[in-house]
Amino acid sequence: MRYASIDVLRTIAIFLMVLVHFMENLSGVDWAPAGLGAPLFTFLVGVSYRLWLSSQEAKGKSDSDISTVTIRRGLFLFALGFAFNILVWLPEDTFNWDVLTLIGASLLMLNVVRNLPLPVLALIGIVAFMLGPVLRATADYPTYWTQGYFDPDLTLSDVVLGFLAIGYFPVFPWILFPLAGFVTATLFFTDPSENEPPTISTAIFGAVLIVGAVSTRLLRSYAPVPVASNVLGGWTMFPATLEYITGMLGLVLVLFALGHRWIDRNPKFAERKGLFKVAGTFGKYSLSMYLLHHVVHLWPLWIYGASMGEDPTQFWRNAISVWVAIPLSFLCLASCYWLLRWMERTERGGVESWMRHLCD
Amino acid sequence: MRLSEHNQIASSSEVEHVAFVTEAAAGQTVLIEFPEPIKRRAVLVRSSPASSHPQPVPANELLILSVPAPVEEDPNLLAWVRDWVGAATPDNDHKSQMIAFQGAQIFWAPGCIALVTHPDRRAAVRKALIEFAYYENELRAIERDLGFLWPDLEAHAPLAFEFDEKSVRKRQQLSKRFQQILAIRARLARITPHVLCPHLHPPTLASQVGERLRERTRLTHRLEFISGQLEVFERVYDLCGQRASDFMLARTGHTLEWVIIILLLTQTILVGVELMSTLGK
Repeated sequence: MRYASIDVLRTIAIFLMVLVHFMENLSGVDWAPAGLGAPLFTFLVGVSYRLWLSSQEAKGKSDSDISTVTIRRGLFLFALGFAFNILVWLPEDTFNWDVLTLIGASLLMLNVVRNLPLPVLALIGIVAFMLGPVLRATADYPTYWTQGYFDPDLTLSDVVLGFLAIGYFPVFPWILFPLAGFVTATLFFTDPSENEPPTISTAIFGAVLIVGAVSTRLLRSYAPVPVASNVLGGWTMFPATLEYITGMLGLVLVLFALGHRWIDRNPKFAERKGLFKVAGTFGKYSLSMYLLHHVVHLWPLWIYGASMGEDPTQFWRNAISVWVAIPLSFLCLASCYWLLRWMERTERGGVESWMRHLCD
Repeated sequence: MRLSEHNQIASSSEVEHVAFVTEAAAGQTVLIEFPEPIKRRAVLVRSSPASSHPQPVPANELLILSVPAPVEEDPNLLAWVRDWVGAATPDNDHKSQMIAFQGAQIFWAPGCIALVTHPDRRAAVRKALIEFAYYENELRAIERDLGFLWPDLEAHAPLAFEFDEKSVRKRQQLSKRFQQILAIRARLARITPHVLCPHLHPPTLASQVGERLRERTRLTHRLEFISGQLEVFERVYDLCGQRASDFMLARTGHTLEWVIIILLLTQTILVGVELMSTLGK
């Protein structure tokens, strides 16, 4: 079953992602709200996996069949992540551990833990959350980052450390979001006929997390130096600090709970017209959209850079003004929407269909 | 039969509304006090002269029409009484049952009884009829309740074999059903001795009327069928309860094991990362 609220949230994540990538990669301007895109996207991975799992169980698929497909899909996304790094971010960044490798790893992990009791899943999430700063401190995170980007040596230890703790989207603490999505969707969508989804309590819990994150952020200057420098790190996405993760998880929970309450459970929106149609298209092709918008704005940058000198990345973050980058991002969104609609109309599959074709 | 004759019969007859309650309200006449385990009393709610066009029987009430029997059997009178019972029980799918015994004619439909007898015998027969009506009504209610529970039983039957994480949320529902089944079994157990009681000796008109009606409505057989059905329900929900209990016990153990595994993994990751970061430098 497709839920309109999930498509809407996915579309919000896509809009933020496209906008921020154009601003960052073309103009070097970092924009704070952009930090919501990746948490929202990875949270929805967990939600979608729960829904897919329920549909497979309803079809009577065996546990081993479900495992096989999940592992295939996880490996596909993991491999796609590497291919994407090589082709889009160029071979030098093969092991930068971007979001696709995280999603692939998340699916593999969710496959292992999907039958565990919810308290155990919650414990895994808390441990992942707490381990993040500890592992970063142990690994000496700043030494792997040069001028704001991840720059490891091509050694096994650096590659594994990048995957676990110090890459762009390392397993710790980012695995928390798919896990939280899976747990939340289990509470919301399992046996919907018997129990009312806990939308209000989830939204309140999310709000408490937001308040906690903001308070921690404000009180950081009063905390003892070891805590302020090692445990709390300020509001940053790279590295994903405790405050940032807490705040984003809270925001994502609030958006998801209220979206489900106000959109999915509202018969007025059942027909899915207007903006819901747009959200439906972007939601259906979210993976394709993720790959496509990178290709659209990075390849021209690399080609132009290569044609102008030895280093293809010489114009990265300084190609154009932010006031040109923003309209370009909207133009990209509009063009991609037109393309995706055409694909939908002509029943052409995107990367999602390739994945299903190869893995299911 | 002419309209005036209808009115004449109606005016000489009496309709009593009887309710089965736990405690009689002040001023209510208690007609019968059932034995202790049943804890019910049949009370007279109101009585009035019969009308030719009776209102349908209210739920949870028994309607008793008492008509004084004429000296000679009158087919028109019996037809009128049968029609009266039919009109009082419009939802009843079956025709009313008729018993003629030692000059007493009785028409019965669920919730409604018409008694044509000599006024001297009326009180004794009425008592037997009220008793029968209560037990039959209880049995019918149990049959209806069980009928509603069959789809749930079919849905829950797989859980009697295997209980898993997804089923945990159904525990409350299973427990509720089990309690419902036990309650039904208790209701059945309370009326069973009275339904299966042996014939009274020496027989009286009242006892024979009760026995005859029990036979006509197959109370004994229905009770056996219900008992058989209840066994199925009890077996399934008993097994479900055992499976759920076993699963929850094992789950608690597994949760603790997983907590230990997670802590060990955490420690391994910490050591691994420390080792790798040292090696890297």
